[in-house]
Amino acid sequence: MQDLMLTRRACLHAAAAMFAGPALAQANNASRAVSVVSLAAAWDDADGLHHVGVLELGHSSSAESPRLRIRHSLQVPTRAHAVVPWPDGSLVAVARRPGAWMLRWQPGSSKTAARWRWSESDRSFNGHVVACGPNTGGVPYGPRTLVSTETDASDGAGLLVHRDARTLAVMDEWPTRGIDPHAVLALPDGSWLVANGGVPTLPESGRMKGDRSTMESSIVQLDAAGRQRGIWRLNDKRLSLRHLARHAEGVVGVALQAEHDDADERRQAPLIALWDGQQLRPGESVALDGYAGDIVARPVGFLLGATRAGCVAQFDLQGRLLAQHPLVQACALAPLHSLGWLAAGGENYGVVSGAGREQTGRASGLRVDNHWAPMGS
Amino acid sequence: MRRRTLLVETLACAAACTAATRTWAQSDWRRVAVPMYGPQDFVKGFVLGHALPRARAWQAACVALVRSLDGGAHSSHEARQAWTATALAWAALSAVATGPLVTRRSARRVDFMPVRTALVLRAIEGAPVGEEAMDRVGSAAKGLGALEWLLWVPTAPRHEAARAYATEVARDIRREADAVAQAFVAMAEREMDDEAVVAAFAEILNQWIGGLEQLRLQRLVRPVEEARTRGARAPLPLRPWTGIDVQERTARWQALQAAAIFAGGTAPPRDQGLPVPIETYLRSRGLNPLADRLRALTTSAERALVAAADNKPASMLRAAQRLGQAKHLAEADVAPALEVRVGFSDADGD
Repeated sequence: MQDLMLTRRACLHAAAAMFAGPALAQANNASRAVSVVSLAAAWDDADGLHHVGVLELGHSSSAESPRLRIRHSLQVPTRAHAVVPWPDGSLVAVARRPGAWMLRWQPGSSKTAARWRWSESDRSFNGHVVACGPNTGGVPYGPRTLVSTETDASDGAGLLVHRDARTLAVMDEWPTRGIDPHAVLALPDGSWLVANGGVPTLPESGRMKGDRSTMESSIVQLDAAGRQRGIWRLNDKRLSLRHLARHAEGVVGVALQAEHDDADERRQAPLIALWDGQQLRPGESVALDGYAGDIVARPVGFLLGATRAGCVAQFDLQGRLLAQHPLVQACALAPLHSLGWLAAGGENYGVVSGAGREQTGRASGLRVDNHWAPMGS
Repeated sequence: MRRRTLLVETLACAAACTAATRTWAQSDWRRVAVPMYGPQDFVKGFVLGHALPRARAWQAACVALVRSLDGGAHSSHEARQAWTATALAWAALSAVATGPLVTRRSARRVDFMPVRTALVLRAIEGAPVGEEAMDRVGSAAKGLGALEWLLWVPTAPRHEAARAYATEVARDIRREADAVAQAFVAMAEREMDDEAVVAAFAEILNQWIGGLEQLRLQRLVRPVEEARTRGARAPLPLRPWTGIDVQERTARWQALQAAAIFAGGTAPPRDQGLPVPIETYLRSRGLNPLADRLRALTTSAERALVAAADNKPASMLRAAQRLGQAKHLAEADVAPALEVRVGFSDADGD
């Protein structure tokens, strides 16, 4: 057993040396273990060029800052949004809305090995995609498919599009019963939950928002055949429902972005809404500038990247604010082991261990985008 | 009202003539003071001096196109020339798509790509005549793409019904050109309050950035990358039958450049409806270093786009990179300096 432990420790030191380069390798003379997490992510470099690929975040129990580095990178023509790890080690990335491309790439392979799919002229990608696997219900076209949220450019209608995961070709389209569909979640009973952001835009003017007094955001549940099982809206029409995470207890947390004209209303708006399968209700109003990016479920509740407030906000399952963890431009979130989590905001990132220990770092010239996800997840 | 329209026409004509005769060196702004422009000067100058002359040029090209087809010149040199002139005039106008081009969704009405030839054949069978009937025809079966196919492709139908449909498509494009030109005249005549001026100012800057991005992504990067995906060496043409992709890129770029960079000798005086390029506007605000950077990056993009006329992937991607740098500057520095929020921005979240 002792031999095994020594061997394991030696391996960890070797991994740390490989991960951190010569400077950290010297520091490793002191006995400590470095954990390395691989993350599928999108980021911008110092020249503003856009990439997708794999980042590695190394952290240890020592006082030293965690280190973030690029493991595999593929340059892409516009900003990506979601980057999803696939069970075979590849990743699927999709452009931020109104997106023109989606790709599948095996990290480490050449750029030419990436399989691209460009949008048809009457469709645009909306930035989110979900892998369907053997454990995903509601997959009428088999486990090797994916679903993405997209927009029909002719009338702005939202679509949930089934694609062949290998070729990325369209297999079917279901209406999302709303506009501006964003995140999508596969539920254990085989149904799908889609967040219709509800913010009007036109393909002719890209991301410029139209008349927000006409906003109609909703979450819609579609059964395994695409039929509407239910649709829920908040009373405050200016809250855009955008990102989704499901807690082990079954409650879905919905990250909100406030679109009120009045700055004070925006500032005080709730960041989270909660859906229990029957009802959708807002969490408590908090003074966190009305903008939540990514959301993940943790045992205690939900974490949200409060980007404009510069913190990761922690809520319980009743939507009450429990804590704020400062991080400039906080947005991307990922779980770490059973209790901890990782966050990034631009060039800043943070690691919170299961024991609650917080460490932050900064990667100059590497701006992490809105979402990241652990490889192998 | 008529008097006001005449004034608008006169100012637009003067602006167009001034723009057309600008061949001398750039403004010597270091020695000659640049007037202090406000958003109203910028908006008025853009509508009268940039958008309206280009809308008029497109309208005139459409008139010639309809005339050539009305005369039964289908597939003739005359009709093809008229189509090319119409497509290039449209490219010049829609490069910075503002006002009625956005609200009317003109691009979708007249330039949906790619055309679906099966739908064109079905539309020919339906023999639509007039505005209402053409409104019922889907975007993928009409517009410039459908005409390109009907006028150029040897296997496209040439029978009477096909010729009649081609003429209806040309008339449909002309109706849109008329409506857009009228809407720009109305926009120029309208008294705008401060809020409307600020909104129009923001729209123009946003759509200029959007125009850069359209040119970069859809007309330089995508043809190369999509061809690569399909295993082809040559970039995928957007206009497969006429091959005017390079000319269209040039027309778009020239319009974008004209909206950004001052090519005259003396900065335009205020209140005359002359276009105030973004560079000149920045200088009038004392932002000379930023104006210099915009000018330098635009010049660099210009050189790269000229080189990309060879239509080779490497030079097209190089031009795309230069355009990306100009776009990045516009988003990261120019727009914030002018207190404009950028909808197309790479800097915000989602």
